Amino acid sequence: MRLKPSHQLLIILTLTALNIVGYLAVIWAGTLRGYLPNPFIAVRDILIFIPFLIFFFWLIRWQHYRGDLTLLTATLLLFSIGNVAQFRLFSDPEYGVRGQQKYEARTAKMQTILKRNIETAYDERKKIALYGDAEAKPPAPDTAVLQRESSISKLLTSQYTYVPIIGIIGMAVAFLFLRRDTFLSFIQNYSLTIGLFTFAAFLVLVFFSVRGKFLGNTTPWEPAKILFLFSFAGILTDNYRILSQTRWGLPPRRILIPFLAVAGLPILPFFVLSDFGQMLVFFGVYALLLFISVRKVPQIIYATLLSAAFAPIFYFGIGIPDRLKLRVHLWLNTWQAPPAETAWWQPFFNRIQSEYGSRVISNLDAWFDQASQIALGLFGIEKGGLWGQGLGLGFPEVVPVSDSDFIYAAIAEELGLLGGLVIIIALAALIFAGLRIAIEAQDMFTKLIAAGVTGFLGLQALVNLGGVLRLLPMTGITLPFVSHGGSSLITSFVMLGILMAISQRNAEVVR
Amino acid sequence: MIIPAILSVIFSFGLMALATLLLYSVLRAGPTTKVDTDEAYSGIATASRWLHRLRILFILFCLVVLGFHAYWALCVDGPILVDENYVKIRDSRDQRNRRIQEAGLRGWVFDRHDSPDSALIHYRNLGTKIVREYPLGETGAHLIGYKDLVRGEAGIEKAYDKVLTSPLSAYNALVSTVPVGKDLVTTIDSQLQRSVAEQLAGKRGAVVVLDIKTGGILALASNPNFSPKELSDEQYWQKISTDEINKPLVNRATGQYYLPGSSFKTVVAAAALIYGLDKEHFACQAGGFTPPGSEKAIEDDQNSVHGHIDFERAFAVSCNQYFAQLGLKLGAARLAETAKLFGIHIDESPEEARKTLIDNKLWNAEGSDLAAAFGPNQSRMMLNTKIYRFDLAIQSIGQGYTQMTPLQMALIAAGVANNGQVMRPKLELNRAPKPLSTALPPQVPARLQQLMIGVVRSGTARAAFTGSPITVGGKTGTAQREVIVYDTKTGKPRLITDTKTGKQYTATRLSIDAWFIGFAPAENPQIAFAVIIEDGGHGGAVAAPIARNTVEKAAQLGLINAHANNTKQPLAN
Repeated sequence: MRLKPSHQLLIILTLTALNIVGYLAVIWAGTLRGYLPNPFIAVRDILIFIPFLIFFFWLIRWQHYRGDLTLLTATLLLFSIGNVAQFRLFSDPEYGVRGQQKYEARTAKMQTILKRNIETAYDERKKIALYGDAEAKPPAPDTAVLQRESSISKLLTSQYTYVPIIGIIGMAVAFLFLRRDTFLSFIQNYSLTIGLFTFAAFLVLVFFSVRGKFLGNTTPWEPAKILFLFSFAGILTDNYRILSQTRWGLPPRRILIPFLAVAGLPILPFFVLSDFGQMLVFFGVYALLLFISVRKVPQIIYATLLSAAFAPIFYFGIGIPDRLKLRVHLWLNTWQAPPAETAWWQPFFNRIQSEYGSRVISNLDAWFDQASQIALGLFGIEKGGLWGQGLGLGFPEVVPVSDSDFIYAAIAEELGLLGGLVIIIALAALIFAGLRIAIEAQDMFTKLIAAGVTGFLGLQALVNLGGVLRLLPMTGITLPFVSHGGSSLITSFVMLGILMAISQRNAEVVR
Repeated sequence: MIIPAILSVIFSFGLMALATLLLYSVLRAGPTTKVDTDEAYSGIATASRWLHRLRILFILFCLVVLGFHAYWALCVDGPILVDENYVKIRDSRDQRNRRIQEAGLRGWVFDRHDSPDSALIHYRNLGTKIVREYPLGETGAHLIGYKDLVRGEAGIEKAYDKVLTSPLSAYNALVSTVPVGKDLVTTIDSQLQRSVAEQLAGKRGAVVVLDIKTGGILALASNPNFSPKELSDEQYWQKISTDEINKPLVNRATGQYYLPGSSFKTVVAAAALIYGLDKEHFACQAGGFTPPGSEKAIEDDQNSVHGHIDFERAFAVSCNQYFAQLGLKLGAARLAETAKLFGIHIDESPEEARKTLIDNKLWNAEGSDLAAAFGPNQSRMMLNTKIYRFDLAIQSIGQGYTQMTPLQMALIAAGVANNGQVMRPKLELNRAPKPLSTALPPQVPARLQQLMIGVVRSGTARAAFTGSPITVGGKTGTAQREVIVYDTKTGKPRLITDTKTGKQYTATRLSIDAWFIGFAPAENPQIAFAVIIEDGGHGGAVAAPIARNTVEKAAQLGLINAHANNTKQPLAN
């Protein structure tokens, strides 16, 4: 059953309607806690569907798109559920503020719930005891504390408005270029140059960045993923026949060493950034592409053994940076602080202590300062249970930065295991559609690009979900289309455009 | 809250349907395009086969992720396995707890009049904020307790936490993410509680007042106390939680062992009456009574000499030598049998007597939450067949291994007053009374009541009750308890260095604790009480006046009716 474009349009419209229900739920729940989520933001988020619909019609009418549309629909589903979760988090007056302001917002919110319960559940004599009069209304909540200030102009210039638009444009541009033979042969011919150029530009960016972030809180190297992928796919396409002439699963030495050097290009900058999540994703995708093009079972065994050999190194923390040791401990022993005298833990402890100023904190306090994100996320997931607390009715605002890496925890708290299942199913639909495009691709180059893009999206999703659910160490990778990191969202949309272009090429060949 | 919840359900189920449809369409899409067999040499076809296998791998990963999600959402805290470390951190560090506590309405706690005006715990409107308050303040500190995320919980707030947080109605549980808890009506009388606590001001001690027919606690006060309002203040908390001299956080009425002294003679007298030894005459001479096989003599207060006296007189003047001899005559077994009737635990050996014991079956309550909050310490004696006579004699006058709580002493008085039937103490007003043990034989309590009335009329407590409008039966006690001496400057135990050996010892001294236990009114007993003042001196002079004030206050509050007959019982419920 291939869904027709009209069916897909119907699904997108249903999705829009469901989103309106979601936004209403958030707004309603907000008023129960004494704050009004900004309805203009909700309208803005719904209106974001219009550019997507324009893109949809542009594809069908002008581009005569015959490829897979489920890609787009599944992405929209993920994107919109993410939008609702962002809306819920950012309308909360307690979210993203600290200190006294957070305390005041919390108190005002909780008092609103309490007063509402008094109004609905208390009998007359207790109301009289509280208010002196059974009919008296409780004092209104302190809106000055609870309302987040916002204006239309601020709204239009916010990154939540322009990032998706740029994403759509990027998607269209990628689609236009990638469906052309000339462009494809260009990147295939210059694949090594592209790789080296990307590497150089990346190094420059890394040189100017602090603590894994460039100027402000951005990660401009996200698009490097695509360029590295082009480069690697091109090199593989040129060489996979030679690479597959193996003895004991190993290709000839004259090709193996330069190949490994090129394959290792992305690792260095990400290592300098200590972005181990991206390293993991790159490693996974490159291995995937190699296996697909060369298809040697012994290589899979070698890779598995190599990974297994790394496990004890990580477990016992031999010769790895302190920050990685911290991550591993956070993952394996979340609920227990390392002993205060542990050598790698002391610098962290001292830094946290200095942040608290004169207040002396215990070892466990310092530990929880580090573990709070994963721990609070998991507590929320438990609270969410099967059906969730309801949009706006849980407390995902206590998880630090839950709009980005931890969006899944926020969704699981308020929509439960069911909401998690929605995300996983939509991801599976997206990944399966991507793999199908790779399978249908007629030449090795587009096949590898499609498989690589799908691999990036799927691995990122798995690494993110694994991190939130303590299946893997926390790595700071976003959930594609659901989390709203600016550049990573744009990159994900461009990847989607690439997939659609290859899908269109496949469809044209069949005709 | 029900509308956004319904909207959320529509939202997630709708998305679920769409996502499933999309996945289904991808899985069921038409056959893959055929690959030219000419191209097979380039490996395109086999590459596609490998990609097919990737789908299975991805499904596998998704299932693992779902499994982990299901574990955290449904299984981490039961029903099969419980991750203790997780639960510990969650309960102490989840910021949601504070929010739920701040937003949730715990139930109100009322005193026996079931009115918001005399509530023990209520909410108060401060204009901008509505806060939970304890109107009794310091006077109810140990009884009411507190509930705080940082300081923990105590008292009624701890004991009835489950009731106070269980949803008011099924509808409420459905529509509210935070609980609106059930209210609790207690047997306490808030005015009596306040008056009793105020009488303890400036002293160290405790008072327990019981309704003898039901076992309901009317007042339970302990001093030094603390101010529940100031608990959140870090300095105040440091001060009270580290004060070893006064121990303001200890509930002395239930959580502290005392030697009962002469007030314990009530139990020995009960044993004598049960086993027909009430006709004995014993000598009470200068130099005291030395139990056979011992070198230490048991003497009377201020070395008084009562001569060759009978049972009634000995009880009225509280003759130590008489009761020491009576105890020996009774023997360990018979004394133990009687003590058990009052809920006293019998230790078999001195080693056993040193272990800490909590009586978690005493209360008339559901579950063991009340015991977790209030204890009480298990009152105990050390009696066995091979006991030294001195140990038996000294326990017969409430010294030695005898260890009691004020609550236990009030229960003894209540048992005597309630015609030999000890009722289990309770705090919930609407709870059916439950007896603690089998009743004493019918003549025994009547004789005991007469003996105790004699103490007030002509014995050791006569002076304290002269002119009281209400006749009272009671027994004084003056116990000598070894206590640690604290340095008032450092707040630490004072150490004494032995000049010969150079070893250090903790300095101790004798605290003279004043007791008065009894019941009122004498002719138709309705309430029973126990008063202890640490370091107070003579029971008749220090504890009895507090008991008198308490009884008169209770009468004024209508808790006892001096002229009541059997048909009219204001306390019965």
